[in-house]
Amino acid sequence: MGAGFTGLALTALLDQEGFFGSKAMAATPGVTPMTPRIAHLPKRAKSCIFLFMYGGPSQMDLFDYKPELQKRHGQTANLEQRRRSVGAGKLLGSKRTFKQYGQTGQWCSDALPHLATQMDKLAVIKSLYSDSFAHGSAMLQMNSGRIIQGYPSMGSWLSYGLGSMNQNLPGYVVMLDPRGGPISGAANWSSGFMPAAYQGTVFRASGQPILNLDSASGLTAPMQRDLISTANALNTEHLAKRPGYSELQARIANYELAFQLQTTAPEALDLASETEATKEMYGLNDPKNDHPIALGPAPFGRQCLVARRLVERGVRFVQIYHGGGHQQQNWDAHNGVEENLKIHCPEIDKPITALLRDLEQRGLLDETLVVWGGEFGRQALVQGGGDGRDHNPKGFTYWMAGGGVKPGSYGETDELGHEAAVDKHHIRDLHATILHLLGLNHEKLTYFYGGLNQKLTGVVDPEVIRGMIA
Amino acid sequence: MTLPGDNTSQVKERRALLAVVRVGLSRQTNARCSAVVAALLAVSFAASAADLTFFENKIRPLLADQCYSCHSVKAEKTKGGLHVDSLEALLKGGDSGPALVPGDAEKSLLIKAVRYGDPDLQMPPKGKKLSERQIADLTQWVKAGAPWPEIDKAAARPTKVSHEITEKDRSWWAFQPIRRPEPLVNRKSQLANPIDSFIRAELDAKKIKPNPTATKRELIRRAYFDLIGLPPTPEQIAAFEKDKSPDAWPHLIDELLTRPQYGERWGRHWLDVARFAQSNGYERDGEKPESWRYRDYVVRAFNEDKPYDQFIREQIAGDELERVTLDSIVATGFHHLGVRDDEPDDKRMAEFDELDDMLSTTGSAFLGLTIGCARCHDHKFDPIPQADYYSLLSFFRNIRLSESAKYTLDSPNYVPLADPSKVAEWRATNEAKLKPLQEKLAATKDDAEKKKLTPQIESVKAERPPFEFALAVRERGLKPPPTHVLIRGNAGSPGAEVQPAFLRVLDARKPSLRAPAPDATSTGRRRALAEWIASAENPLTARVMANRIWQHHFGRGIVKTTSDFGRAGTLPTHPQLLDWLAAEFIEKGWSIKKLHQTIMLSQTYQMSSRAENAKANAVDPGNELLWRQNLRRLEAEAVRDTMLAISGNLNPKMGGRGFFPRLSGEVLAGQSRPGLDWEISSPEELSRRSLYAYVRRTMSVPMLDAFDYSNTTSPLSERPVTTVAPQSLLMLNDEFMQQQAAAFADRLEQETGRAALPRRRNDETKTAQQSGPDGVDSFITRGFQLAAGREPTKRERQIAHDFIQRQQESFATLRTRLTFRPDVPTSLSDGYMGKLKPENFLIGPQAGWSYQRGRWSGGYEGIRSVDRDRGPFALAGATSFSNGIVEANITLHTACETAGIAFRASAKENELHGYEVAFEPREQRMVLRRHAGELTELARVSASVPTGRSLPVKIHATDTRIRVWLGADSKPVFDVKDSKPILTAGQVGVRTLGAALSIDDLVLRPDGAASVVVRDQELAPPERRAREAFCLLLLNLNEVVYVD
Repeated sequence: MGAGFTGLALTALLDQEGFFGSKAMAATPGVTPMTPRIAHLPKRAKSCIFLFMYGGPSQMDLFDYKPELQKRHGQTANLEQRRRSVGAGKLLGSKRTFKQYGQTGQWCSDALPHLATQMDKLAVIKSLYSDSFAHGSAMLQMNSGRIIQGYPSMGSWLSYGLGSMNQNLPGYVVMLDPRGGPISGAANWSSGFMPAAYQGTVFRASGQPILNLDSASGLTAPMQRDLISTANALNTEHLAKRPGYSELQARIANYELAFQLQTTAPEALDLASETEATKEMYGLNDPKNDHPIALGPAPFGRQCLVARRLVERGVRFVQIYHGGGHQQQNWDAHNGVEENLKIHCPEIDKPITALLRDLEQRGLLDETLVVWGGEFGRQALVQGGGDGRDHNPKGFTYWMAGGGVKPGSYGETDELGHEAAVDKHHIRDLHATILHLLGLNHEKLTYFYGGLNQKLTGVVDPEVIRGMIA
Repeated sequence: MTLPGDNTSQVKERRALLAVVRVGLSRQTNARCSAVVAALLAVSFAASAADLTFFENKIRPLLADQCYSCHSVKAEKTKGGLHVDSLEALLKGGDSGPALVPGDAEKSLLIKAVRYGDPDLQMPPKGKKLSERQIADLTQWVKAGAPWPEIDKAAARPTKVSHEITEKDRSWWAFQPIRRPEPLVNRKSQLANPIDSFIRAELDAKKIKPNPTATKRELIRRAYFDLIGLPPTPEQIAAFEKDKSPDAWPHLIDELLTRPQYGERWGRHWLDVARFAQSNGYERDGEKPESWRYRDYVVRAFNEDKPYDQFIREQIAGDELERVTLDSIVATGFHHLGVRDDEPDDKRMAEFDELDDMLSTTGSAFLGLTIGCARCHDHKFDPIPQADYYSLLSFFRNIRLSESAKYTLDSPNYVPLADPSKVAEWRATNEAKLKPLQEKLAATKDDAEKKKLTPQIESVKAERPPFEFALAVRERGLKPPPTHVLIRGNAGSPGAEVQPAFLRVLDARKPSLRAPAPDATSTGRRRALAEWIASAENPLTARVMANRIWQHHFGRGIVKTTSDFGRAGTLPTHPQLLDWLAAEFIEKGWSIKKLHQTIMLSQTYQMSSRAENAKANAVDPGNELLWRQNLRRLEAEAVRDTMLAISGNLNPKMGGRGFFPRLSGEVLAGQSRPGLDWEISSPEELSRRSLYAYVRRTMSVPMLDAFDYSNTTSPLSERPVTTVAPQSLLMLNDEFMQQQAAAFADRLEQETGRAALPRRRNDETKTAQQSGPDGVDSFITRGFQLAAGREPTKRERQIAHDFIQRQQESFATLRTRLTFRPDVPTSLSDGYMGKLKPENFLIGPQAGWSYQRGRWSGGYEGIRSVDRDRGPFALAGATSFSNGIVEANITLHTACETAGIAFRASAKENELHGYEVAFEPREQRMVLRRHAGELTELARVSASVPTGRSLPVKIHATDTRIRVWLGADSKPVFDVKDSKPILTAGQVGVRTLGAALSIDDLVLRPDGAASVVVRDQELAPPERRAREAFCLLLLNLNEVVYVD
């Protein structure tokens, strides 16, 4: 269960210099883990919506146009397929048709016809690479910078670094695919060695958004109100005999906050106030296609719309996992890339397009950074008997929009789309860039643990990808 | 392009110098010159951080990725006689001559080759030309003089360590021998307990008066929570308060230390440090079977007061001791508790990740040092050279690394828990069975017989020995593989070989490694390490543990960073006190229990925690000097255990694999296969202490996690204490809390000796004997006694009384309310689904209702998803009819997605059969559906479907005609004639998804029969429910979870 709410008192020994680093050992009244903090840098983006394409979308079928690969379709090539395992395989050209769009002239395939109209908003980087061929560790690295479990996720770093702008909602929200969570589950939004207050709160886009919002005891809201008031009357007497202990005061306040949350959290989900046109735009009324695994655009559309409502309400970091469970239920196209695109592209195409347009119309795009991508990309070689593609962390695509990015194409993979070749960037560079756009210096955002000033970006110096910043 | 930070002339000069140095080196200058060169190198490199960053970020990865497979020491077959994995090798060159001329790109063959200018010299070969950017990087690097880190060279020269330990390094406070300081005698009062004299000396110096002694009630609660993690009963409190003898307090401490719950409490503190968990983490997060034995071993060790030095030896080298016991075997499971990636990206690295986990954990747990920081480079703060890290690693190098559980005698990490002679006996029997079969196989030429024999042999080989097994250490044999320094921690870049050695800053002597006995199964290296750590001479060991014990008595250590006694840690607030405690600890035979006694008998421990001393608050607001005790919130486990203790539900059963806390649908939904590998435990199991909650690394249990539970992946020595709103939501609304409130009410009714109010409505006999107002009084009094350990004040009694009264009135209006709560995620793994009972899908009234899981489709990869319109439902057994009226006031709880009232309904293979009026608040519509295998929509209207308030609904079914009214409207919302009607009699049913549905006044009026009001037959009367609400309130009080 996530915390990440404001109104917390951090009664242990945390302060902005890190654990135990300061003399202020007593709890400081009013200072909480979520108190908004001053950013290191002047910034554009106040919030970030991370659209996580779990499973690893195929770069050469979506944005990374590779005519040479299409030309050499069926030919044999020697490529690294798993770490240090170079082997021959047959090249698999994309069956998609690519066109250039807008003033930036960026390529987009016909798998995403709606998003293609938004290319002038996107800063697309095609030359990312990371360190693992396996989902488990690659997911962890995309979220926490490390392929080892136990480190805080990016949302935790942002919550820790920036605090939250809304006292009544979690600062770091995670939404999951109805088909299931991603591999390694909660480890992906863990706060690692930081306090649990910084971990992601799973926010269901349907049903009760967060855990324990509905009483198991059958108390109605007025009855529960009575219970809280009465308990706090007793708590206040207890506190009166123990002046100076702000944590007792904080716990009293948190009961009030908990009561409010039962209204404010569902309110963020209540789309009644959204217009029909908005719902239509996000694809909420669209049917799903006939593939048994496909969901159609409605669930993800709803989550994107909720994400907009959350950032409007000051939530700092929203991460939506698109794709859940295993293999074709997400972007993990071992069993056929065409089928995979047919399932998933319609699920995201209209919703993401709507999100970008909606944010723009409301003047929110400038202050909201939208990030799209998965834990790695896919191979140029065919896998299995059909048109499957295996994992590939050596070169893959991400895009960002809004929040101070510079639209346009950045970096290249080799002619087969297999490996980042020009302006290569490790994903720590992407992390540093995201932090930068949100006003945080990756060098200064540290947390002392295990004898080290830990950083999201780790020990190797990252490079902020200046070319993607306006 | 330019190198980062190269814009000063100084840098240019340095480059020129570098170039000279390189050339000098390549010419094999004489020894004297080399020394000068080395000195120059050292100087120049010291100033070239930017160069090196560039090298490490751009050049080394490029060389490694593109060239090492054919041109490195590690290459299977070196091509062209050239290595490019060291500067020396590049300068020496290969068959074509030197590959590199530092400072001159044009003359360097390396650059020529990558440019592809010469058709005979193209590298990497076969058209895999580097990108322009990569070529530019290489060129720039060569022009800059080809800077290469000194550390590689250092590693290549085994005699030289990169970091020379200096006198200053050795002088760090924590590395000084422990000398027992004389207690500082206070002039005014002879303080009997030396702890008080050390504390008082500092307070006197600041002229701060220490707090007076806490009240006896405060003391006994403090002692109980500190030592056993559970509250005292009112009787125990009363007896202690009454006992005025001076021995009352020491007796109490002694008594608590003999309880088995002591080990459960203190064992848990150790498990944090040992990063205990029962699964591997990562994608599959598979179980580490038998890891619970380690947990139980730790509990036993604390309960037996196993001397701490022995506790250390057993965990590090329990299999190598003079006296190996079953417990000492189990103890070595310590090394295997870490996270393990069963699908590592790089197998070589994964091996060293596992070894690192062992060494880092050993270092932080026993020595309070962050040794792991020296894996890739010398430690940045502490005098731990990288070479020391690998020397220490070599103690663990021979450990066979984890695999999935294998219960055989040759398993790498599972060891039979049996007398060696019994094991040998079994082995002999097994071999005797095997031998004739193998001989036969060797002798035969008949293929058919071979085919018959092979599986027979395999099955004898795979026979599981009749012993219990433990997760424990086994070594590879008597000859360990060599350990090398890994350059930048990279398993692909081994440097110099190292031998086992201790931390040089502490002990430069060579470990005395005895040659293992011929019949030994391990090298004895770990034993040597264990003896070195578990020694009174080791300045860290006793200090670190004494400090940990102090930490859990005061809420923080004398050194606050309890696992970091190095320069990045904090200094001790009371260094002499720490030394005294450490010396005392050793002198008293490393007895942890004796140290508890010593600490708890001090005046310092017994002080009140009130923070009212204005002067002290001004001078020392953080209570660094300990002028008061600290008020503390209970840890996660103690919060949950305390709820169980108060409710009377606590099951004291010890040990074993543990129980699986019940997880709600929301939590399960976070898994990629929701519910996979989670199990369902019985109510008795669910009432055990939190210590026994199964620890799965990718699955956090909200009840524990919310209160800052251990992180389970890496050693944790200080848990943060956060106060957040989700904790309050959980304490108010969670099912666990509701169950404890109900059990607490039961207990109070029993213990107050009144005729208990029926918990279930059908205990009619008891309802008659209403307890009067004094019954409520004693209920309230006893409630305060059990929850807060004290009598309520008059005012509190009144507040409680009024609350119960108000709640009772509210509950009276809810007498006919039925509530149905969906409780599974929308997707579930097959396996978990099979473990659920139908009534687990939708939680509602039991008696008179039957439940079905509804329709789940998919089955892809073993995951099923609920059909939104045909999900779990309940049927009322009250009556069955075809024609008639159904009336109800329904309330869709906020966030309800879809809910329905069914009629003429029955269950066919888990699915609903009959009619249903569905309410869809999100779409603001109502739909009339026929469920008959096929789902048919008969009618649909836009309608205001509010959530959170009551909506009167009336359904009238007459043969083929179905009418539905909403609210007071006389016009029906639906008036439909079904052409394919279901006419058979059926029940009334309920369905909801997303959030709960409550129904008030559900009345069934079958044609020609009496009306029935459907109630929850087990719903307790309002009096009882109000008391449960009061019990819930008590459990939520600050007083319950904070200790004075």
